[in-house]
Amino acid sequence: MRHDFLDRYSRIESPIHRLPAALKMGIALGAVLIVVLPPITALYPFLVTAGVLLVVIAVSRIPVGFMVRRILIFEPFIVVVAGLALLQPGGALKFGTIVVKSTLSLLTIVVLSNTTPFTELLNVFRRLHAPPVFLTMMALMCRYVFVLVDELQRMKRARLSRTFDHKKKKARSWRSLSMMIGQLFLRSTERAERIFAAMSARGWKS
Amino acid sequence: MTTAVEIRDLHFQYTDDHRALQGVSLTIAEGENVGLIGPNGAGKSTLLLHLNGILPEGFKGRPSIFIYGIPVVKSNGPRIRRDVGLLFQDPDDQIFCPTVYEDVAFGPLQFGVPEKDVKDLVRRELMEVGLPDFEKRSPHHLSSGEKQRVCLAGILACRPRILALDEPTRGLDPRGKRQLKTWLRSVPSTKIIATHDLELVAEMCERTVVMDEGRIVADGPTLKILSDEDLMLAHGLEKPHILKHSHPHGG
Repeated sequence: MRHDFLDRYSRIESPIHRLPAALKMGIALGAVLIVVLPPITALYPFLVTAGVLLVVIAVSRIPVGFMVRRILIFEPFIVVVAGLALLQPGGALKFGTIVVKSTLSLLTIVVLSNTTPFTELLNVFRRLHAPPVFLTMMALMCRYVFVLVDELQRMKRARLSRTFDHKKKKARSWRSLSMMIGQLFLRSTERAERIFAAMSARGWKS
Repeated sequence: MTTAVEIRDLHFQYTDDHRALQGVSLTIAEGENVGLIGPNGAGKSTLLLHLNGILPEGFKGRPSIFIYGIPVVKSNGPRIRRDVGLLFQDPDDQIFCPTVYEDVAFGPLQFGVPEKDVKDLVRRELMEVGLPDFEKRSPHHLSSGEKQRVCLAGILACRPRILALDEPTRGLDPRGKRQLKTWLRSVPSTKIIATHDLELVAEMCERTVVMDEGRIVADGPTLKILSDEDLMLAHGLEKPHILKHSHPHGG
């Protein structure tokens, strides 16, 4: 099974993809600061950032449909949080602030992660002398998040292959979901032990 | 003849009280290819994990294993782990880095090989296992056979004198198995192969050790052991087909 939901387009060919990772990271950080710092009434920072992002997307050859879907996945969370602001006096402005700023920041990160492979981003952190423990954890996460998704998928298929009774589905499926989460936790713990053994076998000093 | 591995009366008990090894003694000479066979739960994997001190955790207890005469104790840890290359059962456990390059480079970097030499080393090892230009690939997008070979490259990059392989043919298609065998023949290290693949043992190993319930129950020339039908059946094994069809004098 193949998964690339995190950075599907990070390895395609484009002028943007060829730029050094450190530069792209710097620009992304700058863009987020420009979006986060000024008040919403200062329209220009937002318009300019949005414009730049759109140009980058166009040049980077990431399909627009993909970007839209990616943003839409996260948008409900943003809208719910922003919706709480509507309950306060003068809420409309706050609502707009949160939605615009969050969406632009999110878009920046999605563009960055789809134009730069994660390992290159990690290398930038390494050159910036980020703590090694942090780097190791990020690298392991990047490696095993997909393995875990596979494992979950296999368990789901195994469960579906033995699910016959569709009537009592609801209550039972909650139970089996919680069982699956428990199983996944157990399997992950055991896998963590085996990975640690494999790391030790090649000289890892804990 | 130089002794590569010496095991003296090794006992081991898992924390759930399961007694996995109950007095194992074994001596392996340099350059030998030894097949380690036995039913599931016989203690084969547990034994391999002892060879470089992964078990017992934290090198507890009196040393029972000697690699080239050096006891497997904490102070010798780095040296032992460099000498003994261990191939784990599941490649997903063994390849823990986000790219193939980083994974093959992991061992050499841990053992202090300078970064500029590592690059060449990784390229050479990947070439060796038939995966040239795989450096930037992500392990998740490799086939089982490719993962297996990345694991082997990662071990080989540490230049081990002894290879301990746990189920090396598991999950490989016939072509993958053939490539693995060719590759194994070209590596001069001492090899200990724990497996259920008896044809692999028949082809690769001149000596076979049978384990059952944490003990060694037989040890001798592969041909003699594998064709002893009573012995094989008594320990959950069977005489492999390639021996059944060969002539008695042909081997």
